[in-house]
Amino acid sequence: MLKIANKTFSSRLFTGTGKFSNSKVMTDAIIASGSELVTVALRRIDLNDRQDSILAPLLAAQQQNNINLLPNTSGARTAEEAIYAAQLAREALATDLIKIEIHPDPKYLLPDPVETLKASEALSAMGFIVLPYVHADPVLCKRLEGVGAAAVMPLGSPIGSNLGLKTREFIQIIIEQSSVPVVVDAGIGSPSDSALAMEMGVDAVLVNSAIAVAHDPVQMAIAFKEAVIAGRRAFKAGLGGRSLLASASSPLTAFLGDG
Amino acid sequence: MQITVNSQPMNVRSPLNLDELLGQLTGQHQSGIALAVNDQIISRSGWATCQLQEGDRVMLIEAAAGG
Repeated sequence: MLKIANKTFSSRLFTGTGKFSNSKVMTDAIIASGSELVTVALRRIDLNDRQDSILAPLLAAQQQNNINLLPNTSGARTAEEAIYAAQLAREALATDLIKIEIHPDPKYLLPDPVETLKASEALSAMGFIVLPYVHADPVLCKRLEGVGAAAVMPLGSPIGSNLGLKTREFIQIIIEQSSVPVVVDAGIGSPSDSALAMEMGVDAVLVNSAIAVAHDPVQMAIAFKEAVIAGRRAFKAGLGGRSLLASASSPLTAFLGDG
Repeated sequence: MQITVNSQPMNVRSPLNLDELLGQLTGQHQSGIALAVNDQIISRSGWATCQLQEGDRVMLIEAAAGG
């Protein structure tokens, strides 16, 4: 079981709700993934185009599927805006969980470390369960832990890029040094990426785009579910070492020659 | 009276409280919504007693799909 603050999760696959072609596919994929922590964003209600809440089917499925919603502060460009967004999210969704997501540059969507650290400190003090989304910077992650973050969420590669664990070596350092759960978030492009992250010892992975933009999101969600379970099991089973030299797995006795 | 809702000017009757405004705008009570008036978040329990004034800026936020 994974514990983040006072919440426990039996699934180490967290998912997002963005980029799905429709609500039904989104809900079916999330349920198929077995995910118990699902990110959502905030937006202004469009008064001219009152559509049914995209989230309505997911909210309906929440109870039976033990789904916790994790609102994010996407859209915020500064700590001040993120703090305001977090308070709005807490009001709207009656949760203390908040993913701090501050990425003003739309080209690479890289998280602003300075604003994120500021917002984390303030929101922790206000009783939020803070999950900050950051680059895989081990020093920053220790600082976030120091200001009360309940977990750290280093990126694998840019949001939606599906480039996998470009920050692999630095995630390794974060795992080694962190006293709070480490959740790799962003850029995980395939189930094998998520299995690799789990084998390295991360506590959980957050996958959105790779599931949402797959040809068959529901099947992809299942594949991710299985990969995360396999990766975690492998981590706990203890992977053997690697070597350039061969090490025979069959006996080398020459039984086929002259006696 | 004139107020703005999500930056759009709107003419509404007076007196009007937040609860009534929301009912007018969205037709029914929805969960997953937060309201702010002049950048002050008003919690759900205060909607019925929050009387709107001329020039108030109301913001309606909802949860949406996102990663």
